[in-house]
Amino acid sequence: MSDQKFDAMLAEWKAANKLGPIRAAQIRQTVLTSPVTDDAAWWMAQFGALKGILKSSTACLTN
Amino acid sequence: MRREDRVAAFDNLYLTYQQPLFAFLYGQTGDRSVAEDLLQQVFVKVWNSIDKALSKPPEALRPWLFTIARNAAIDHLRSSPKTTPLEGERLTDSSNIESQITAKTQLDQISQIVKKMPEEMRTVFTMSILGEMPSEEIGQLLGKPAGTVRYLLSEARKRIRMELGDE
Repeated sequence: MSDQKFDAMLAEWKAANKLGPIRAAQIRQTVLTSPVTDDAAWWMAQFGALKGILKSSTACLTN
Repeated sequence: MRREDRVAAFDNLYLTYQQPLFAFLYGQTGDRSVAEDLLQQVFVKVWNSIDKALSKPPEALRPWLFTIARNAAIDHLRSSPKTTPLEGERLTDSSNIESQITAKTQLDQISQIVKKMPEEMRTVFTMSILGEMPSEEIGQLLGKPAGTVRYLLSEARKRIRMELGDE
């Protein structure tokens, strides 16, 4: 097989295996309608809870 | 930032990185359909952290995206049973394999050969062919010299030709 023919075959394989525009649009749509799971908000909530525990523990110790 | 601005920024990222990330995930997993699912997971994470993504300098954005993709691939490979054939198994070495592939087109055969490649070679191959990324860029993202990437790419091409019965 000539290099040219082999490259043409790989180009065909590439066209058949790339992420197609329809699937790409579906993925985009799914992502943009997915529920937000904000990791930063979760960590802030944990930090807030921990701060509350420490504050009440300190209050107990000082009283 | 308004939602429309976030969506516009996301679309910009999505258009730029969907193919390179898909190519990387295809290479890591050897499975096109799994790569599509993982790509979706990656972009859900990106969408959830869009403000963080936009605050990154351009040179830090790409490695950040590929780190998310790498982690998604690792999580997937850890959680699923290994279904890919053992590395080194050849397609053309036995007549029963030949009979299995007679009904397949040459493109299907290439997909099978790609799937059987060692992960490192497969990732370089898919990032180059499907992701259209230059060797230098692939090397930077995978932590390999560009020369190694070019060597792996050349070996991948040789392997495909050989297993198609071209040598």
